[in-house]
Amino acid sequence: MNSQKEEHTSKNSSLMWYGIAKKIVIFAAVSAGILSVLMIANYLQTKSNDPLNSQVITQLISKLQDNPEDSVLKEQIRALDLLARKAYFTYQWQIRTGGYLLFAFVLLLLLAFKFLSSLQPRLPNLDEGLRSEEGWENKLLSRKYILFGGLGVFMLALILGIVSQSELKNIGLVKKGGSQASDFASIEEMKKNWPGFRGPEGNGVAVDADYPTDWDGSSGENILWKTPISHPGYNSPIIWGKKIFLSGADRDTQVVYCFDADSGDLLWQTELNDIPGSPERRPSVGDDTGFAAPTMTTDGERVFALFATGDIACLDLEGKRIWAKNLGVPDNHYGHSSSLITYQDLLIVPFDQNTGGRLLALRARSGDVVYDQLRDVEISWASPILVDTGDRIELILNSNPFVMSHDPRTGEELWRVKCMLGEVAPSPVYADGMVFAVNDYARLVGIKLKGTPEVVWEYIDDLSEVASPLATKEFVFMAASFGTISCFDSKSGERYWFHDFDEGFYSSPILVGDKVYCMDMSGVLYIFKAQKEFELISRNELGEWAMTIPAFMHNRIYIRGKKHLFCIGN
Amino acid sequence: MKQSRIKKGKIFITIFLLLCPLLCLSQIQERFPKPDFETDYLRPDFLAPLPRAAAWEYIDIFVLAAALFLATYFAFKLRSRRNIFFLMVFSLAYFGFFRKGCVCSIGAIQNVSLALFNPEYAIPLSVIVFFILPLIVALFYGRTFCAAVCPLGAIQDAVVLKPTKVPKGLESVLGLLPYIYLGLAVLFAVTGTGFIICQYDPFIGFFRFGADFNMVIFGMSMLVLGTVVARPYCRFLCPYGVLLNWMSRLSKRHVRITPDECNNCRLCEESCPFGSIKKPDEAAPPANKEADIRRLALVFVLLPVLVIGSGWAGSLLNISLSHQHATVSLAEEILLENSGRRPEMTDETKAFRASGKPTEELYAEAKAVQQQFKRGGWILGGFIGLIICLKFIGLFSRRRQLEYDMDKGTCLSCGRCFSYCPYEQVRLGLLSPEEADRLGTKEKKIKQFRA
Repeated sequence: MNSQKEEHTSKNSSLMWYGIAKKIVIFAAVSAGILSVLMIANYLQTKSNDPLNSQVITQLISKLQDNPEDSVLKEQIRALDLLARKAYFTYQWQIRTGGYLLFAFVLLLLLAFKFLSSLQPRLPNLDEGLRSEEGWENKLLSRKYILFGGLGVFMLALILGIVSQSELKNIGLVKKGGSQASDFASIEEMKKNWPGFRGPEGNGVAVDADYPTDWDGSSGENILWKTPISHPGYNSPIIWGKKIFLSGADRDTQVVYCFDADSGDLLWQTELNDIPGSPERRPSVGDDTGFAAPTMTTDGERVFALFATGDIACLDLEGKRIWAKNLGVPDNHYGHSSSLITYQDLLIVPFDQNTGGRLLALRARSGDVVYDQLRDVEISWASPILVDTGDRIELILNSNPFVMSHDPRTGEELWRVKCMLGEVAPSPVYADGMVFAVNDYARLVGIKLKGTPEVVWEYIDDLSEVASPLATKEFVFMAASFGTISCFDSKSGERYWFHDFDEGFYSSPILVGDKVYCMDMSGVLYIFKAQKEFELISRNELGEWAMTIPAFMHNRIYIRGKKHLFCIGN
Repeated sequence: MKQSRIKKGKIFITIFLLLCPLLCLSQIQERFPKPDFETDYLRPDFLAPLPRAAAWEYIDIFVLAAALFLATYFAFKLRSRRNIFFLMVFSLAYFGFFRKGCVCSIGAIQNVSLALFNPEYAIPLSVIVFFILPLIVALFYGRTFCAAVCPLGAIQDAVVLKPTKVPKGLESVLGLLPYIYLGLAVLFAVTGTGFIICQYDPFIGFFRFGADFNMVIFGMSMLVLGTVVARPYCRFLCPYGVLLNWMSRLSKRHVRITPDECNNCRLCEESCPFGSIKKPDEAAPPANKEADIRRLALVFVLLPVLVIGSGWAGSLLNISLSHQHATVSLAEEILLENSGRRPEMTDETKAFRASGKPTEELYAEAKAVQQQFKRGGWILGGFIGLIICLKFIGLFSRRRQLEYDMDKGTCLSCGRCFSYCPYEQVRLGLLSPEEADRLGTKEKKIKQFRA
């Protein structure tokens, strides 16, 4: 009787707790539901009224840009901004508090649920009986699952491994402590090609060969091919093997071209418009300079191009971009025009600007800055030359007021000679222990390098403004933009001859054997003998204006005209 | 049956809908750009907990040790599910919400791995203790840590409402995931890539009331799933569970369903929501013994090949896995930018370029990391291959199970099954021994087996 009573009491107690738990479930569920609706409504409201992008504030800010001194407007913006931020933090508080409350209700709901489920034990259906083979069947099934699961994991790894590609796989690295991998051409290879401004080392001397001396652009005589170039540029062609490289640019596009030396076909062109850091607003440049004045260069493995925007890019010989960066927009009122040159694994970038002179060297394969040497000079447009003095290799630059020499490996200044003035554009040249430099309104100088470098002679008339001089052991030739060519004794500076031509010269003369090739702005190329007396060999018309420097290779002359690339050969 | 399914579905949907607004938690992350203060104001970081004072380290260790002791005591001496449950709630409150889920034993795997491979890394004492102590306890007494101390286990346990059985085959495949996760976590920690267990902790957002949107979604999914699949993270992801499983298998003492002898009454059969109760095999093993032996021999012969093959497959993953490493990812971004395939610079690449560090150096470092991943991939692949083979071999066992017992590896010592045993009711004075005996059929079973 007692036990029946106890059982009855226990049953009643259980029922009571069951009832309470049920009510808690309903209360917690309803409360959590209401809270959820409120939180979602709050969230949606705040989303639709993004305080940071308030139209009113944006309008006020644009008004303020027109009238930056309006202090009332400023106060108004500040007040609105403060309101927006307050609203944001209030919203954060609401969400956080709501989150806590919701979590508490859900927890309460769960606990009540759990209590309810604890009153209902999980019992097996004893009427069904135990399946005697179940354990073995499960094992057999699990074997299959494990087998296929394992196979699946293996296949997944295999597919992922095959599909995934690393950008880094094509990067060649220099081994630590080891010698640098020579992934650049040797000096001998360089000399067999036309790798930069004015050929190997920048001295304007071509390998003696059977180059044509007669052609006519209008009749097509000895013009092997002529290919149009889509974008303008005052840079001169460079050649590596059978490939000719040029760059072109306008306000919107920067491009590098590669032409086949035999056919003139465009092999590839790579646009370089998306270089990280490239300025959105293009700098203003002069018509005589443009956006693509610096002549490209190559180290035999890669080609490099620099533009007036300060964008510099490295491509492989197939046109694939290896690296590109922006060096900062050159502060240059005409546009940057100093050409690039390579030395071993370095790409050397002369960067003299209105804000001061700089000489940079970048690692050719990666674009990393190796040195950034400040130069105590004014802005210049001249290009560097590499000089082997016998003792060392020097990088020589013409600038205002110094002709300056640097160690190409470190950028360290080796010597300077104060002799220039004005806006220096002609590059220096070297021959037989002497450096020759010129600038309009300054002088033409001969600087001996032995001992302490010093000016041994100078000449002050008919000076060149753009074209660089040409030097041999015995002579110095100078072409001027008003149409004269002068010849000097390289050791004494005595002027041997002077000749007046119809048009001025921007293009620099090139020495081929005992002949000098020099093209005027109208595209007429004069060939004369490199000797004490002026002796014209021929006068050849291209039929197109041209201010660039011809490239000499394969017994042919490659000239970039204003709109075409020409190949001249016998 | 149908009604039960409908009920489960209703609970599932209700919990899901109620948890949905918690997604707003992800919105209390930073939405405004960081202001550039010109004063000395320091922005408070509200997502990561501040480093604790040294005294707290010792308090944490003490609380851990005490909780482990109590969990073991409740499971072995008192055999009290209720006490275990209340201890679990305490652990959830202390280690979860108060400690904000850090330090935890699961994440400590990474610190320990990094400390083993990188002598420069100074590992805190509390991390070592959090890593080792639960393992030592598991070695002697089973996974009482999982039952009542782990906050991640506790938060999932709190939502177990109508657990469903996971089919055995599927369970065995899903059981591979924790090994893969463990391998990856160790590899990422050792290579300095990151602590992925912490990064992808699904419940940290709840403990800290703020997390990445995706992680809140992940955590919510785990909790909602946890209402019908008990403790899904513990069973099918937890890397620390792998180590506890190994230790627990070796444990001499382990909680048992019955305090006496099992009489095969079947009452506990459905009591474990984790599927850790092994049923007796009434039937003899299948007769194809020779075929099984041949298959097993083949697996043993092929074992080295399979392990090496898996290692090779793992090594192939070096590229995709190393993408997660900051150095590799930065190097690839720089390369993409330099090659013009990505016009916009990221904050990382801008910072790198501003640092003046040569890209060659970066590339060299990135390649070295890829090599580390290659070596690590071999080990990871070999490890996974070996685990799969061993699991497969284990399924060839023909040993018969004679009574209801726990799987020592997977049993979490939660004590849910205790009250189902009639002898437990005898121990508690709620049933007489005779009544308990009547529920059992052991004599009959043994007779059948002998016959």
